[in-house]
Parts: sequence; C-alpha cells; structure tokens
Amino acid sequence: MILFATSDKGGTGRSVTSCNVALRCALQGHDVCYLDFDFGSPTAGAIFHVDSAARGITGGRGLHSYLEGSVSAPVELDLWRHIERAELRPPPAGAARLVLLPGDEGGGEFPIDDEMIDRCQRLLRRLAEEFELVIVDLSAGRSYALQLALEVTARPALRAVTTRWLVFHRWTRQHIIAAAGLAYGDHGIVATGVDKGHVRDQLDDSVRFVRTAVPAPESSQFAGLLPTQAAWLQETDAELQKLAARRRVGRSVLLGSVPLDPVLQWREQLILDSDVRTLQIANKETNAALDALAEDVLNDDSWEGL
Amino acid sequence: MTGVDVVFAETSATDRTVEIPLSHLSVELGHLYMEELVDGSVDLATYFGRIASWTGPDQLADLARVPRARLRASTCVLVDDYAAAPLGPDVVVPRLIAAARSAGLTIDYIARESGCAAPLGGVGALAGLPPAASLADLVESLIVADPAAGFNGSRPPPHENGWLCNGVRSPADGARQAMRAPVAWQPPVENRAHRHSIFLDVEIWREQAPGRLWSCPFLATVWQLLRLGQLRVLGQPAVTQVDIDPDDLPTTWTQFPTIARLPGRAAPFAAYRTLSVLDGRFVPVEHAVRMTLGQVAVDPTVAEQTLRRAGREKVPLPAELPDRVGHVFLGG
Amino acid sequence: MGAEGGGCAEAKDATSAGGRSDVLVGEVRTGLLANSRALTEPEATAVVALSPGSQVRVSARPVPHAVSPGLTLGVHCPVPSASGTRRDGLGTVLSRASLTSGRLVQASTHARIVLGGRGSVIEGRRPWAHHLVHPGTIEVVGRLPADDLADGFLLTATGDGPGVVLDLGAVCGRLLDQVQESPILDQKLPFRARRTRFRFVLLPCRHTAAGESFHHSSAGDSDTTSGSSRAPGHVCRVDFVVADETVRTLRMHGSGLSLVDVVGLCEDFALHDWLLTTVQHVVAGSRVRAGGGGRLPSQLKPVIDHLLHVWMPAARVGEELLPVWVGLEQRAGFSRQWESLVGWIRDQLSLSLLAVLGDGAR
Ligand SMILES: Nc1ncnc2c1ncn2[C@@H]1O[C@H](COP(=O)(O)OP(=O)(O)O)[C@@H](O)[C@H]1O
Ligand SMILES: [Mg+2]
Repeated sequence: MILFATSDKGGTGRSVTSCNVALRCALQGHDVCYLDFDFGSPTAGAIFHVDSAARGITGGRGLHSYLEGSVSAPVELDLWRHIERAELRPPPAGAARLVLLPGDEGGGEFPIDDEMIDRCQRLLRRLAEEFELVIVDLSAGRSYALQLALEVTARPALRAVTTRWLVFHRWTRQHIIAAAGLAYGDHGIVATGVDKGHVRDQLDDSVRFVRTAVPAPESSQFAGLLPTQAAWLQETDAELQKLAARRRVGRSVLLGSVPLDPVLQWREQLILDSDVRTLQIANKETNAALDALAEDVLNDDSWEGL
Repeated sequence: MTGVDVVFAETSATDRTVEIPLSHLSVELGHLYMEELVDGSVDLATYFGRIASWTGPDQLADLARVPRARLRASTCVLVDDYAAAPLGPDVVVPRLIAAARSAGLTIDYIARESGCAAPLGGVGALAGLPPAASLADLVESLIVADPAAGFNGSRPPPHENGWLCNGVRSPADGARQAMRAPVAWQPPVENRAHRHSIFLDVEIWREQAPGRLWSCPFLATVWQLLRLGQLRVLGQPAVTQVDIDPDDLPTTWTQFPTIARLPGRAAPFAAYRTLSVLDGRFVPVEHAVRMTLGQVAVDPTVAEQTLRRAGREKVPLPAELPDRVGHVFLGG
Repeated sequence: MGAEGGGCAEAKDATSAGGRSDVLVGEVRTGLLANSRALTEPEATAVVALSPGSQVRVSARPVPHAVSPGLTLGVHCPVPSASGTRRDGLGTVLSRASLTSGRLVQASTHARIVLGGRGSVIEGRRPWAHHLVHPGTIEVVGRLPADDLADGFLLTATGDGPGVVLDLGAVCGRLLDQVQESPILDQKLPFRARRTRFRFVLLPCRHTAAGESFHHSSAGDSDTTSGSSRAPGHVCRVDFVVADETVRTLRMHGSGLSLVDVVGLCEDFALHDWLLTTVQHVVAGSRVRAGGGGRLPSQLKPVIDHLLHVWMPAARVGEELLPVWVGLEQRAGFSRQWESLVGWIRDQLSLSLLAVLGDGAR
C-alpha cells in the first residue's frame, strides 16, 4: 500500500504523526518505507533522530536529485542503523524493515515535467513491491508534490497498487474547514485526481482524516480547569464535531485522533514506550492513539467504502 | 576483430531463425513519385535508358564483387503509393514493365511502399507487437541510437518522438528554472565528426490521425533492410514474395502484394548488397537512409547467418549494414 | 531452408592476448514477480516479449523459465576504474529479462569490455554501425589494467550515484522495473521481498598455465568464499562476496569460456542466492513471532506455496562451468543452508498439523 500524508496547512503534525506511525508498523513486523516528499523542507530525518540527514541528505543523492534525474536511484537509509535512540539499538526483535528516503539538503520545490512523473512512478511502484507500507509525506497544501502524487497514481502501472490518502488537521475551526477543502474542494485532492484520470468514487473512498494535537477535555491535563472553562471546552468540542460532520470530515472518515502531547508540543520526535513508562514525559494516551493509528492504517476494514 | 559475438543467441527448440535465399546484388531500377506517373512529366523510356547504362552485367558483377559468370542479381522497383495512389497496379505495372523492356531492362520484383507501413497481421500479434504493427514498427524497435558522449546508461535513452539524429542537437533554449540566465546558442555536433560536423536530424514519423505517418526516408530504410534480407518476425521472414500475373492485375494497391514477383527466372529478391540507381534529388533521402541503417541492430542470429554464408560463398561482405548499400545518383 | 548453425555463436572468451584483454562485467537483479499467483507459460512469455518480432526462449524443465530477447543499448562514457583513471568506452550493453517458475523475475545486463585496442584515434572514429555488429561489446581507447577495471566495477559503493561512469546497475534496474510494470501483472504480491543485486566480472587467468589454481582470502571483513577448479574451461579462481544484505559480487578468472554460459551461471547463482536470502529472512521473522500452540506462522505459507519448489541448483549451468557451481556450493554451503531452512519449515508444518489433530481430538 502507498499512503500519502497530506495536510492543507503546515505545522499540523503530519510529519511527526506519520513518522511515528511508520515506526510502529515496522515494530509490528511490517516492512515500511518513508519518503520525504516535503520538498520545501525535507526534515523527516530530524524526526527520526537521524542527525546526518536532519535537514535532508548531502551529496546530491536524495529524492530531489532522483526526481530531477541526476541520479538513477535515491539513497535509502536503513533507519535501524541510523536512528540515534539507544532504546532502538539493537532493533527490537521482530522488527521489520524501516527505511527512509530523505530529500536533498537545500532542496526546494520544483515544477514537474513528464520525465519526473515517469521516475516518480517507477520509484513508487518498486517500493510498493518491496514494502508493505510506503508512506509518502507530501508538502502542505496544493503543492507540486501533491500534484505529482495524483498524477503518478493515475498511471496504469500504479493503478493496480493500493493507494490511500490521509489528510492531517488540527482540531480547530479553521483547520477543519481547510482539511475539508483540501480533500473535497476546488482543485482539491478528489477534483484534481479526477482531472488526472482517477475514478471519483474510488478516490473519494480512499481519503481518511487524522486529527492531531486534539485537547481532551476529560484528560488530566485539564484537571485544574474552572467549571466554566470545562463546560466551554465541552461545548466547543461538540460544535467542532458538528462542523466536521457538515464538512464531510466527520467520524465516518476519521482514521484516528492523536491527543495533544506535551513532548510533541516541544519537540518533533519519535514517541517510544520508554518516553511514557521510564521517562514519563509523554502521555500514555498519545502512545495508545499512535498504536491504534498504526493498526488502523494497515487494517483494510478501516478503509472500507462508505 | 572478425566475426560476430552473439552473446544471447542460444539454441533451443523455440529459437529457430530461418535463412532466406540471397542474390549477390539487389538492383533498384530508379524511383518515381506517383505524381510523375500520373502527369506523364517523365519520359519513362528515356528514364530507364539512363539507368540501363549503369547496370550492365560487368558493372553489377564489379559492385557485387563476384565474377560475372557467377553473378546472381535481381532487379526491383518500389512504387510510391503510400501518400496517395490515384493509379492502380493495373495501370502502373504494365507501364513500368514496358518502359524498362524498351531500355533492355527486366524488372523482377515490384513492391509497394505502403506495404512497409501495413499491419503485419497474425504473426505480429504473436510476436508481442500491437495488432496493427507494421514492418515500420518492427524496424523502429530495432533502432539502437548512437549515444552522445557522456551517455552512461544512468538515464533512459532520450526518446525524441519520431526523430533520429547522428549526434547531439543544439540545446533547446528557454530557461527551465526561473531566475536563471538563458543559455547561449551552441551548435549541434555530429558524433565522431571528421573535424567538422555534418549534423543530420531525420523525421522518422509524425502523429497523424488515425495513427503514425511514416516518413519517406524511414520507409526507404525498411525497404533497404528487406532487400538485404535482414528482417524476421519470430525467426520467420518478415515478408515473402508473391507471384503475380501481369495480365491479371488488381485495381488497387491494397490488393497487391507487398513484394510481387513477375514471371521469369528471377534471382532471389534479397541480396548481400544493394544498388539503387536514382535521380540526384534523392541524395538527402538516401543520406537519411544510410544514417538510419547505421543505427539499426538486426537480429544477431540473422546478421551472423548472412556473414557466414557470404564466407562460404567467398563473397566479400562488410559487416556494417550501411556499407552494403550502394548508390548511383544521376544528374539532371 | 533450415537454420544452419542454429544461431549458436560461441562468444569470444575473456582472454588477454597481444596487450589486449577482455573483461566481462555484468549485474543481475532478482526479485519477486508483482503478481498474486505464478504465471502460466503464455503469460510469462508475453511479459518478457520485450522486443517486438523477436523470440522469447521458453523451457519447461526442470523449472519453467522464459527469457526475453537480448536488448541492446548504446553507451559512450568512461568505464569503471578503481584508481580513478578516466578511459572512455564506446559500444553497447546487452540486457535480458527472465522469469523462473512464473514467480521470480530477473534482469541482467552485461558488456564485454575490450581494453587497450590498437590505433586509438582511428578507432575512436569508427562508425556507430561497427558497434552494432558486436552487440554487448564496449571498446575502450587507451590503456587500463583489467584489475583496475574489475575493482572499479565491483568495489565502488553501489553505482546509482551521480557520476559519469558506465552504470550497468541503472540499466538493469530499469529493465526489472519495466517487466514489473507489465499490464499483465496484477501488482498483488503474496509477500514482500527485497531485490538483490549480483555483480560479476570475468577476468583472464593471471597465469597462463592451464588449470593452475591459486587462491587467497580477499581482504575485508565481508563473508568471502573462494573456490578453485581445474575444469577444462580453465576457471582459475572464483571469489564470491556477500557485500551487504542485498549486494553480492562474484569475481571469476578464466579463459576459454563462453560468455553466454558465464552470464547464465551468474543468473542461476543470483536466483538461488535470492531464494536463500528471502527464505532466511522470512524464517528469521517467524522464529521471533512463532505462533503459540503449534500454529503455523502465517508468513511461512506464501514461502511454502511460492518458493520452495523453485530451488533447482545449476539447472541451466553448462557442463564447463558446473565445477564452479560445485565449488561455490561447497564453500558457501548454499544447499546445506537451504536444506536446513526447508527442514525447519517442514517441522513447523508438522507441528501445526499435530496441533490441528489435537484440537480435533479434544
Ligand atoms: N499530538 C501532538 N501534540 C502536540 N504537538 C504536536 C503533536 N503532533 C505534532 N505536534 C507538533 O506540531 C508541530 C508541527 O508538526 P509537524 O509534524 O512538523 O507538522 P507538519 O508536518 O504538518 O508541518 C511540531 O512541533 C510537532 O512536534
Ligand atoms: Mg512536515
């Protein structure tokens, strides 16, 4: 399966959440690879604690170089060799492959041409052959990266490969509206995809939403709230639920929801069991939410047509 | 280095490549445009007369590099019916035969250009060709482009949508990325030029509904390859000659064989070498043909069979296809 | 008229004579075909019918095998060199794709590199048609030691990099992609498996005394196997190196060998190496998460269904090169490892059957 991670806005938590999902899937024994298609700022390396590729990779062998045609294959980093977290050394027993294809350091957005589409399609098809889950983290909004993704997945060679779309958004009015717009609005994923040759219903069915950094009013975080504040939070939350449903981003298309987490608020990183149990810095709810998300991503039932 | 290295030609039950009979020389007795036959602007008897003075038996034996007594040569004419065919075989063929005879020439084979672009039919489908694939499609798939200096295989070979050249084109202008200075003009370069470049860029086909429109030089290349006996489909001859009766000719070219054999004791159609006696105006076309032939890689088994056979027959034969093709160009 | 000679041309061997030497370089990539089930023979034939009008070679025994016609690509670039010497080569590389058992796919690309040709200036200007007469040959202008070329080809990290040197791996990888993209395939793989890369060179024997063998262990901490043999084909020395999880290299010294057969040997070797690597990986994974109560680990089923019967070592290796196989087999212990993996899988299968029976009895 190829899973495209998108969001209308930057800073939604798309990359951090996707990286954590990738890690969890690999820990559960599924071969995973992660492509940093956030061409404007390729920083997946930093989230995966890979210092040598924190802002993309040097030497002109990253995804930018590959798509532009200056190398015949992009670098594939075996993350089990590169993640600088002691808890993951050696890789836990039963862990499957976890590979990062970083962008080029200093790489930027670029316009798309036909040869680039060919190269992108070849790469994605090959990775889908070798990995159970290929996560492609796309630049925010209606970007070249998103356009490229919609273009290649409409090609005959990728049509037979299962491709799915995740739209990440924060739990606010503006983010809900923006996420719905990106999926279903003018020049959004579905509209553009249909333009490029996708079948509307299929594409529509393959879009799901992930809510990030969601404040949970009932959680201990908000224990000290005044009754009025707590009531207001409940009310707002209910309103947002209604808004989401109206905009077609309600529960039926919700794949998961990650609570607001103190660690992630401060730092883009992987959440490991030790962060919850030993260090007790991350919330166990976050851990559970990420686990559930990883499971649902790979569970065909959660992608059943509506 | 002599002989041919065929690395992937192993024998197996399914891999049989048929040899076809070969003459020493295939002689093309001129080429006329269909319009010239229609408007009668060319005096055919005079035309063939001039050709005859270049195709005497001694001259041919010399070109074929065999003693005159042993010479096997066949003659042929290619009818230009691809673009338009206002006159049918029943009109054109007798006219050509009569005019050639008046000059003392015998035409052994008459072929139609459209045959090179016509669907191969049943064999094509078996061979992994699209159903409507023609000889021209087959030959296009045999092109191995002369690589520009620096081509190391890391990218797919550039495909130029219907054009083939003998070097590196002048870089296209128009800066790709914003804020970058436009590139200064650079000349095209011929690969392995002899001091100076003679750059040639040839149109192979053009998209024109309902399909491809093949260029005249490319169909002429297919024609040369047929005359050199180098084309096979799944190991079988790509075209076989069909006997025709000059007294019973069809009215349209589609009913006419791709290569027709006229009655008589003709030597085999295909030959080790070819000679084309043509008007000087065909120089550009034939230049293009030579360049294209130089970038066609025929089935190595076929190439090797031909060389071996020439060796057995003691016929000197160059390994490179363009060197097997000879021309006489007539002035006005 | 029959096919005389049957088109079986004995390719030039890798020899060194008169200051000239030929080095065969090549790469084989192996992977699992992107299809849910094994292809039938007509399907397999259609998938590798990559050159219109040319024949696909098929054989049914001992395992179904379909090979595409040879595909020729022109190149004009520096050839590899460990010392960084820049020597331009001009010629063509040959590739072919093959399917084994309708299940495994391989692409292989190779070229015979002719070093130190005579008059350099003249040769540099030979018409392109000359190079098409010798498909799969690259002529190099200027002096370059064969070992420098071989080391450059085998040892430079991975190829694929930004560079100007001959990139056989890229040609090979594209061909494998092209086959996998065939519309005949449903893209539903029964399980995931990594592709492997197998790079090989064939060099002239260093000592001309026929059959003289010598071997010393290669430098480096990688898993090295050396074997030697005294075959009539004069294979003097073979080094097989497992360079990393997916890259293997084979360096062979020999003379009087048919290049067709050497390429065939390498493809067969790469195939079995891939089988071993893949099954090993699956078994290692299922040992960790072995299902309780004697249940068959789910990952094993596709391996049993799709791979176990493909193991048929040296099925397509010619007489002359058989000793190389045998030698490598002994040193690298391919068959021993395979037997033990298969044995373990069988045990799991029996255990799971017992468990099912036990459930029934209760
Ligand atoms: N569940 C969460 N709780 C708190 N902060 C989060 C959460 N998820 C992500 N963040 C933070 O939000 C910021 C933006 O996340 P990032 O993944 O970089 O967004 P995007 O990829 O959408 O631009 C980062 O600082 C990240 O650590
Ligand atoms: Mg991001």
